[in-house]
Amino acid sequence: MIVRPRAADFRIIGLYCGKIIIGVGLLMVIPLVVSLAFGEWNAAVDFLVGIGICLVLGLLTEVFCQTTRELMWSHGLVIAGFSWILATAVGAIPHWLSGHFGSYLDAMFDIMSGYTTTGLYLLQDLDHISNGLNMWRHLLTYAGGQGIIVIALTFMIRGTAGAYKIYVGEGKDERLFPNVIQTARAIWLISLTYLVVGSATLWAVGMNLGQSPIRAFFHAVWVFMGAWSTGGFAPQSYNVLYYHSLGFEIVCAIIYIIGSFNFALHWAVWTGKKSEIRKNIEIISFFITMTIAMLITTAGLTKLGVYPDIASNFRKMFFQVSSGHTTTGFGTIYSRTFVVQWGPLAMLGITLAMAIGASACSTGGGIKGIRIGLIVKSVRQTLRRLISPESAYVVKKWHHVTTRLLDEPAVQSAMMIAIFYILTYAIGAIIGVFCGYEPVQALFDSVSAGSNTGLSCGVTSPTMPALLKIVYIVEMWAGRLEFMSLFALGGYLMALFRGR
Amino acid sequence: MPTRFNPFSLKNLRNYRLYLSGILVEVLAVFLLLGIGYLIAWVIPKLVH
Repeated sequence: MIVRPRAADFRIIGLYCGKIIIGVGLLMVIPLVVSLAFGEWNAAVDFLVGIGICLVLGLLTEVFCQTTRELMWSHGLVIAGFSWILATAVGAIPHWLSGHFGSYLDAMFDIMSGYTTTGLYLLQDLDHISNGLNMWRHLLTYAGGQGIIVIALTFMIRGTAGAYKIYVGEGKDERLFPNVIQTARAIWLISLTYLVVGSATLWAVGMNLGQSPIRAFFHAVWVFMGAWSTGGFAPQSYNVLYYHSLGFEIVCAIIYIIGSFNFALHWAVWTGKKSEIRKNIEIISFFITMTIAMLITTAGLTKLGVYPDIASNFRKMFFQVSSGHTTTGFGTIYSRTFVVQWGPLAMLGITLAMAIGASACSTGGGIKGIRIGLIVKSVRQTLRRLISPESAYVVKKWHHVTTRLLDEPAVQSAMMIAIFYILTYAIGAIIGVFCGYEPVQALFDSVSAGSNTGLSCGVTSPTMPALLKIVYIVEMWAGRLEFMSLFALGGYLMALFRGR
Repeated sequence: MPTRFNPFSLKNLRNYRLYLSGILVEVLAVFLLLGIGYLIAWVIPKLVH
């Protein structure tokens, strides 16, 4: 029997969603301060309006949704799923008021792209937006990379019992500590340490390129946020190509590749388990799949003779493939170069890299290295069983922080999520073809949205059909939350109409 | 009795050493990947042509 949700269920969901909306409002204070510092009064007013609406909505939920009901698993999943939509709707207010978007849908597209660390954008005239708006775009992607819920857990939600249920709903099911609040703090410690080290390095490189200290500082912080969160937003429309610097590209690649590692792996390495980096299933999986993607892409580029020498071949190929594989979305070529120069084979190499994606419990998206590793190990176990004597008992192990036995539920779960990702990519590609785009191009941008990458071959633009914009928004959201919260929301809606 | 290891303590100098060595190990892993990339960009054109 399906039980219809009661008023108390909605109250508890509303209460926690309200806290997250207040969190979004408080986050807007940082771009507001940047706008005021640069004397951008129009942008400051946009942020003040956004903060006001967030606080009013959040306080209304505090008044009308007070309840003594305990948070259950289903609530946690629904809150995780629904709060991302609400945070997108309210986060789009300053974007929409800035006048750089054709419609509110376009503004919501950019906000969802930021939160989910995708990096696709429909913003017009990126090179001339205010510093405050640029800070807001990059802050969104940095916050989204850690997880909106992780932020709320750190600052706003007291008590760990309910907190863990929302944390899992956001697609991060690793506990670095038994206590989920300490886990959130460890994630922040790693991210903030890299923020300081990475931004300082990019600042030095930027000043060396001739940027003024203030401009170099803001570019360094924004590019770091885009790289570390594997978000792919950059302050200029030419993205990383704008800097025309090998040094800048290498520093970016180091930041986004490390950013795509699992937080549990970071924590293990940082607390003395150095050998984890060569034993971890996700790192091994990442190195192998990255090598395959680089081989395919290089073969495609070489066949068409796109780059004349090894250095430029390596520089362009490595940056694009690693950016795709870590689901960052930074680029050092124009979007249309994929289509007019790189050709279908190289594009398929990048598409494969984007589809596989980064590590679980990282800032990245995609199917994830751990699932690919488990599926491959399961296939090898099955093959070994087939060639072994019937009485033989074949055991396979895998290592991720601790060594574990390969068991059926882990493989089943990995396969199920991988199938959902592939279906999402396929549905987006089919709708893209329906809207009139070439199949390879439609697949490229659909995989980019579903895996939260952000590379585009030109399909994603303000002029694309509204249907495709909505499809990509759903793909970004579903891909980031790894489907569980999406199903919980669907189940809740079904229970609302069919429950008793 | 030795004090309990607290990885969050910013007063403990040992923690800074641990964080720094952790960052270095991760950066080295990326350089290994860069090396593999360069090798591919060098070998594949020779094989294709």
